[in-house]
Amino acid sequence: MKRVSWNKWILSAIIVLIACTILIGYGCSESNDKLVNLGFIGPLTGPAASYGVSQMRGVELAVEEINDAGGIEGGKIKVTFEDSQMDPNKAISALKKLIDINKVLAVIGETTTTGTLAIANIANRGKTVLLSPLASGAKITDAGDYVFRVSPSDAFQAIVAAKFIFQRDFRNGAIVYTNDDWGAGLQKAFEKNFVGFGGRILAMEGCTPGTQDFRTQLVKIKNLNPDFIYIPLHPDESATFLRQVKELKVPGQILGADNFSEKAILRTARSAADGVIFTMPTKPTGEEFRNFSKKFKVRFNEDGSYNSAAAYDCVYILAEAIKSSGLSGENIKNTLYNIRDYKGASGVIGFDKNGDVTTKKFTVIKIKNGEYVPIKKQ
Amino acid sequence: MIAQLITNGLLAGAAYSLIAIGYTMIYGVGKLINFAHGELYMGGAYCFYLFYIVLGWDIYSSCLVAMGTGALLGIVLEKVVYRPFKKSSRLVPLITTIGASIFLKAMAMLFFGVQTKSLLKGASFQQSFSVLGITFTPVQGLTVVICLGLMLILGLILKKTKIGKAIRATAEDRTSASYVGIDTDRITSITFAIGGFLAAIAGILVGYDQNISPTMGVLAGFKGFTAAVLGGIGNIPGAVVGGFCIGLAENIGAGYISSAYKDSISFIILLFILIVKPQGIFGEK
Repeated sequence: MKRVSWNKWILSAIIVLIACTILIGYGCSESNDKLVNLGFIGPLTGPAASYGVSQMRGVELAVEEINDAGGIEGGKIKVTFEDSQMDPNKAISALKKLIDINKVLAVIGETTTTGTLAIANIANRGKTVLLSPLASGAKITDAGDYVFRVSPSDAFQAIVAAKFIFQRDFRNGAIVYTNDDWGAGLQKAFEKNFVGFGGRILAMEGCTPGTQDFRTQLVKIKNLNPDFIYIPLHPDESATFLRQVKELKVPGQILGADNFSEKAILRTARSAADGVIFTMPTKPTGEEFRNFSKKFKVRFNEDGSYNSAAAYDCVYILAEAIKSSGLSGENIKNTLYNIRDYKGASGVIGFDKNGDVTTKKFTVIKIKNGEYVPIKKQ
Repeated sequence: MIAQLITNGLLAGAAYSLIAIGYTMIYGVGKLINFAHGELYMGGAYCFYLFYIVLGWDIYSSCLVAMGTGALLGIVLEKVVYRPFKKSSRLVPLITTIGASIFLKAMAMLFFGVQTKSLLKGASFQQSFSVLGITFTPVQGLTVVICLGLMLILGLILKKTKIGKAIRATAEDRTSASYVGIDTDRITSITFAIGGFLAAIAGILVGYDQNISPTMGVLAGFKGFTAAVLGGIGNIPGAVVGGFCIGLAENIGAGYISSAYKDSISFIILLFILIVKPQGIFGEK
C-alpha cells in the first residue's frame, strides 16, 4: 500500500510539472509577440554530422550575440534546429514542420546540394527564404527565387579552372567525372567555359559514385592524347584514379576541383598526387574571420572553420534583412537580392539574381611533395 | 585500343570468376544465394591490410593468413546465418545473409574507417609492363594466372577426391547424399570455406590493384552473382565463363558506348538472362 501511494505522488508531481511547463510555455509565447522565428536544417547526426554540428554552433553564437545586443528591434531571435541526417526525405519533413508548425520566417540550410534541391520547392511554395551555408552544386542556381547560398556555386569554380588552364596554353582536354549532382554539374560548367574560350574537350567519361576501376576510361583517354584531364571525382575515387593514371602511363596534366581540399586523398595516393593542380574556395583570412574565430574559441573551445563562419554569416544576413523589411517572407527575399557587399566572417557576401554568391574567390593550388602550394589567387 | 580493352576485360573477369565460383558452389550445396559473399571478398582484403600494412608482416604470410581468415569467415557465416535456419523457408537464410552483409560492412567501417586505403607499401603505384602496346600491372597478370590455376585445382578436387565427390553428391540431392552416409552439414561448411577462400583471394588481388574500401564488396558481389547466373547457377565452369563474359562485356561496352554505363551493362545482362534464359548458359532446366 505504501508503495502505491508513493507512485501516486510521483505521478501527480509529474503531471503538475508538465502542466506548469505548458502553461509557462504558452505564457511566454503570448507575452512576447515580437519573437523572431528562424529555422535550421542540417545533418546533426549521421555521416555528415561534423558539418551540421559546426554550422549549428556558428548559428548559436550569432543568435546569442544578436539577442544580447537587444535582438532585432526589441524582438529576440529564436532558432529551431532540425536534424536532416543527410537524408533528403528527412529534410523535407523538417522544412514542412518548420513552416507549418514553427511558423518560421526563414530557414538556414540545407548543408548538402542534394538536400537543398530536395526542399527548394517547398521553400518557394511556402514563401520562406532558404539560405544554405555550404551547398555548392551548380543546379541550385535555378532552384527558385527563395533559395540563396553563401558558398560559391561550382559553376564559378569551373570557370576559374577553365580560365587558368587555358591561359597556361593547354588546348585539348578530357573530363572524367562522378555521375551525380556535384560531378556532372562541374563537368557541364567546365566544358561550356573551356570550349567558350576556344579549347577542345576530346572526351567526357562519367563513372558511378564509388568506382574504383578507371582503366577503361583511361584507355580511351590515352588514345586521344589530351594535354590535361579535368577530374571532378570524389576523394575516394580521385585517389584510385591518380594511381591508375601512373600505372597506365597516361600523360597530361591532372586538373582537380575542391575534392582535393580533402587531405585524405594525399594519404592514399601519396606521390601519385604530385603535380595535380586544383581549385578551392579561398580561405577567409580577413579581420572579420579572425574576430569570429576568437569568439568561437571562447564559446566552444574549438577553432572556428569556414563552415561555421558561413552559418554565422547566414544569421546576420537574415537579421539585417528582417530589420529593414519586417516580418514577411516575401520582403525578406526581396531585401536579400539587394545585398551586394556584406563583410562577413566567411568573406564578402553579395547575391546575384539567382541567389548565388558572386563575391567569394577561388585559389588555384598545386600539390608538391604532399603539400598545397597556392599558385594563383583570384 | 580494342586489344587493351579485351585485356582489361579478361583481368576484371578473372576476379569476377573467383567470386562467382563461391556463389555457385554455395547455391549448389545449400540452395542459398549468399548475399554476404561480397563481404567475404572485402573481409579478405581488409585482413590482408591489417597484417601487411598495419602490423607490417611480409607479403606471403599476410596473404596466407588473409586467405585462411576468408575460409574461416565462410565457416562462421555458415554456422551463424545458415545452419540455424536451414529447416525454415528458403527466404529466411536469404534475409540473414543480407543482415550479415550489413553487419560485416559496418564492422569494417568501424575498425578501419570509411576512407579508401592503399595496399601498397612504400611506392604509391605499381610499375606496369607494356607488351605489344598493351599495358598491365604485375598483379593483374598474377590475377589471371591464379584464377585459372585455382579453377584447375578445384576441378580436380571435385572430380578426384572423396570430399569433392561428397560435395557433388550433396549438390545433386541433399537427402539421398545423407542416406549414403555423407555428413551434409560438414560438406556445406566446407563449401562455405572454399567460397570464402576464393573470395578472399579475389579481394586481396583486386584490393592490391585498386585500393580497398568497406563497400568494395557490394558491386563486386553483384557482378559475381550476375556471372554465376549467366553461367547457370550451380555450374562451376559456367561461373568461370560467366565471369569472363561480364568482364569483357562491360569493358568493351564502356569503351565503345559510354563509360557512364559501365556498371549498368552487367545488370542489363542479368535482366536479359533472367527473361530469355533463366537457367543460364550451362544450366539445366
